[in-house]
Amino acid sequence: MTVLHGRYHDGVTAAAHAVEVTVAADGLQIAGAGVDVFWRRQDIEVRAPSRTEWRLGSGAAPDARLMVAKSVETNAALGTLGVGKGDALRGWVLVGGLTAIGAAIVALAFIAIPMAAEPLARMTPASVESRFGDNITAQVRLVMRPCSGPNAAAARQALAPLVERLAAAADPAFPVSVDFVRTSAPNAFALPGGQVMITRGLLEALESPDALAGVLAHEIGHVKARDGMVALYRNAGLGILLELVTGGSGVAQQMVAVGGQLAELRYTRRQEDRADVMAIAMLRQAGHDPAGLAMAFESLKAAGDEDEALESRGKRLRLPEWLLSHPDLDRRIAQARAAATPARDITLSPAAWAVVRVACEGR
Amino acid sequence: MTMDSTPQGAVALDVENHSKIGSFLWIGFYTTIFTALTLTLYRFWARTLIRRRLWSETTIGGEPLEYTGKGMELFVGFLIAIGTVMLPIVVALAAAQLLLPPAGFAAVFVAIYLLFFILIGVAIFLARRYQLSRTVWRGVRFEQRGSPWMYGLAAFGYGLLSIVTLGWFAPAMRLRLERRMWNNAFFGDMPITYDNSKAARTEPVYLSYILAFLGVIIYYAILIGGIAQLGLFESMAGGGIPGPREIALLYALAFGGVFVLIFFIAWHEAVMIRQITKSISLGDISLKSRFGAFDLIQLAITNALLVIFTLGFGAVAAQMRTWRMICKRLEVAGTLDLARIHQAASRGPRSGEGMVDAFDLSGGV
Repeated sequence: MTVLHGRYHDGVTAAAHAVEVTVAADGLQIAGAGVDVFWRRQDIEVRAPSRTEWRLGSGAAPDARLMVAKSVETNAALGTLGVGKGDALRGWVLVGGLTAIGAAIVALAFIAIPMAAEPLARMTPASVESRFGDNITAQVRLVMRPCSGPNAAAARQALAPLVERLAAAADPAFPVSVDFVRTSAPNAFALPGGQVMITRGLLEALESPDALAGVLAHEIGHVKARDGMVALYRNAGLGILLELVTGGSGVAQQMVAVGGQLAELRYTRRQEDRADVMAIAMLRQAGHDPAGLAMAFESLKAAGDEDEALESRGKRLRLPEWLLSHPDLDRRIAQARAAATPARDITLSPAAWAVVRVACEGR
Repeated sequence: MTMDSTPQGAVALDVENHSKIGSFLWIGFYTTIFTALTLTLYRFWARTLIRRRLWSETTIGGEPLEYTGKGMELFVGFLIAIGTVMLPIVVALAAAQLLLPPAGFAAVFVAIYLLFFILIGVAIFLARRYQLSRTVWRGVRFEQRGSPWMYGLAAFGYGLLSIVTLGWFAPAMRLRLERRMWNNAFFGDMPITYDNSKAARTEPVYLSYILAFLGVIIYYAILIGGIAQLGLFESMAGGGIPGPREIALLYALAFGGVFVLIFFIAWHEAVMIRQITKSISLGDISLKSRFGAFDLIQLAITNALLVIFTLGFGAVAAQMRTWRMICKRLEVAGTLDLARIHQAASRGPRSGEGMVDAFDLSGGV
């Protein structure tokens, strides 16, 4: 039996006791002035990592500590007790288990919830989506000022018959309402509940009423498919679930966040593709030429090229499609071009187009 | 006979940290990999492992600190915070968004926002209570007593006061909150005291604050001026997106500005560290810090470089270096009658830090 020397903290007061430690097959006998305890072998654990000392505790006496300087002799003696054995294995089991839990959460967020998003959106009463749309519209108006005044009112009126024709072809769950906003970037978007927003920049970029009809048909496609609602449910998975589960501020969280964003893009691209397909059908049914959609995309592309030419001095940075929220513009243009059919009806009269174009001018 | 219970056998209670940068770079590397691999769930065990290491490599009077927390306790704390705080907030916001008119949603949003600010203080207090209860020296636990809600409300009230006074109350707020924490802290059954009386406030807290305040104003002036110079306000007002060149310039401006800012605020930060340290005492033990403005500047720059050149993996090592510097500059005077200090009354909470993690307030180890 080996006898070692060490310090003992009894966990009752802060004083240290000099002790002699007898290493037996079934545990440690710790004795000193006022100290006489036996720690069973299976209770003994390393309580703190150290290069210079064994810092031991006992599961049976959670506050007491035994410190023994590391040396060839003490390492050999305590080694026979198997102290600290199995810690590395437990660490690997932990990492493996957590990886499995993480993978399950990823599957839930990236597969199950996005799959459930569309049925859920369809099951949501139209009145709930309308209310949600009202809230979102109010919030959007805080950052994007709507165009107001007589010009905007006249433009809305001039556009109404076209909107109605297209909506009649798609028959969405909500009345479609179009608003113009004072934003110079050319863009249009549909909010939940049937609210469509068109930016001043888009009105300036579009070259014909047919192109505007293409844009409107695309946005009404989003309204019909209830894409705003679908996105809300999907974000509950990709956004909120991941946001709740992940934490910290290090590199690791950034990696997970980027992964989440890339996955989200796959779904938004699919929604855009579907809205394009619906727009083509809608335009045809209303008696208009789907080529208008292609013209709209061409204008957007030209505006984009011009912007980038200005900002990066001609060095055009082309991102691969999997990094984009929308499908590749060239592909969308080709698709709409291929669907071209002669028009049976005009989209807007030249007079009406002239009124719509200046919606955001004046006050 | 105990080894060192008599006051006459005065042990010098020097605080020393023996951590090595290499081992912390390695820990930072593999814990980051594991954390990414596990959808960040490993973070609770990573934090625990790093603390265990940092505590045990810090000695007071030759005896090491010990961290007795467990990763599972942090994980459970996180689950509790998600279930009782975060999910109800998310559900309430979503329900208000879907079911209430815009005015009703706005009211719910503001109410939750205000509650959130009170909860920040509560979260910080709870995290501290957990950490002290898991810190052991010489077999005796530390303990944080007091009410988390009172702390949260006080922090919220002081915060409002700081806003109303345009930041002038901020240093006083910090010292008062420190007093609130430390005056309710114990080593075993021995109370730690914090003296925030006028006589004890000997460091030039407000004089240094003027310089820091000025530095912040200059920093924002440079930043906003730079943005205006680049014409970014016009393009943003028009809804445009700044190009890569503008973004790069903006980052350069912000980073360059921070390096200027650090020179203005370093003195105040060092003053605050010294003031807080010297206000703390435990029985006959008094503390003093020699932490200087230059220490802070040097740390900020070298740590920033360390993090940048290791692509973020060195963040753990950077935190260790800060802690090591704090220990190095700490001086302890006086002796303790160790045999008369008894074990803390409570074992502390069974889980911890959930809200701090859920709110992303933890800021590392």
